[in-house]
Amino acid sequence: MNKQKQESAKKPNGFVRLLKNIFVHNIGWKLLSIVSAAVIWALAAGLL
Amino acid sequence: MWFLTNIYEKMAAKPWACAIDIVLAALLIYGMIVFLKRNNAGKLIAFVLVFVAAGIVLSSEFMDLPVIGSIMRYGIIIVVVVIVFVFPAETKRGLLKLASPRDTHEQYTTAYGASDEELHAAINDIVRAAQNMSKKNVGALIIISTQNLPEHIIDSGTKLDAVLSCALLESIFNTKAPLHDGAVFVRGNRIVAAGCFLPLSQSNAIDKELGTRHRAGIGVSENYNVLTIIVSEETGVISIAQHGELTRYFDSQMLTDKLEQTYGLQATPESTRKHHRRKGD
Repeated sequence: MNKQKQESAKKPNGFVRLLKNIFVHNIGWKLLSIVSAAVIWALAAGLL
Repeated sequence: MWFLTNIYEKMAAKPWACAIDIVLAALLIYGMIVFLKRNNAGKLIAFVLVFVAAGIVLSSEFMDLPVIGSIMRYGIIIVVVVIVFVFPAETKRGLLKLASPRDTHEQYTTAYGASDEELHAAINDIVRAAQNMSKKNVGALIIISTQNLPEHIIDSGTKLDAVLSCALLESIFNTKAPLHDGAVFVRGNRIVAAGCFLPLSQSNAIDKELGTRHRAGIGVSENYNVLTIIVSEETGVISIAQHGELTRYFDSQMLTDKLEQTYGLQATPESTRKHHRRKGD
């Protein structure tokens, strides 16, 4: 029971979890998405 | 130079619209990446991104290619149709999840999140459970995966996310337990799900004596990068299926070696030689 309490105390609250989800979780793929979007946008803006 | 001038003019005219355009495109691309990764089709990510970029270049006024330009202009429709045809079950599930986003944050990462000692303990538990079930002629089907299985396979069973133990595995495959008729999906030292339904192999080369459990074990290893441990209910023989090939008559040492290889806890060549030697004996 004590162990459970310790584990639940260690868990980050909702806001921290949200920030982690946005800025930490899968950050590599997120950066790739942003870079790809920027490259594709530049191609479209420059050529079309 | 005109290329950069075009970009500058567009950014100067409507900077906010450009920023929103890039952010929305990034969100769209990230959604596509998550969808492909979750369905074990990560290799398609580069292809789709290159296809989109090539489509923009080839359909541009600068290239002036009327036929290819028209095809590429409608490329996005082609990509969407291909995705719907290639992943019909996943598309349906994705749309259903959009409608009920209760557990959309649930996902399975490829990281084990377990120490080497914990992985060794998990291997010992799997081997002991397989041996015990083999002695009692209890059928079992255990999928060991280093990557993600498609969610529709995991969702076909019951999600557990429990620490693996010998007793838990034996309890799941107890013939009176409701989850015994299906596969257990293990990643690292955790049982992700139990009672999962798997695609059956359609191969004609499989021995007719082998039942549906073996066919399911081979079928899932044909489609995904997994190691499947199958314990025969009739004979108690422990077999392993990998890359669509079934190897039978594993003892506890061979099984331990194979699992250590799979978990990256052992160098591959030595244990492979050992396996071949034993198979030849």
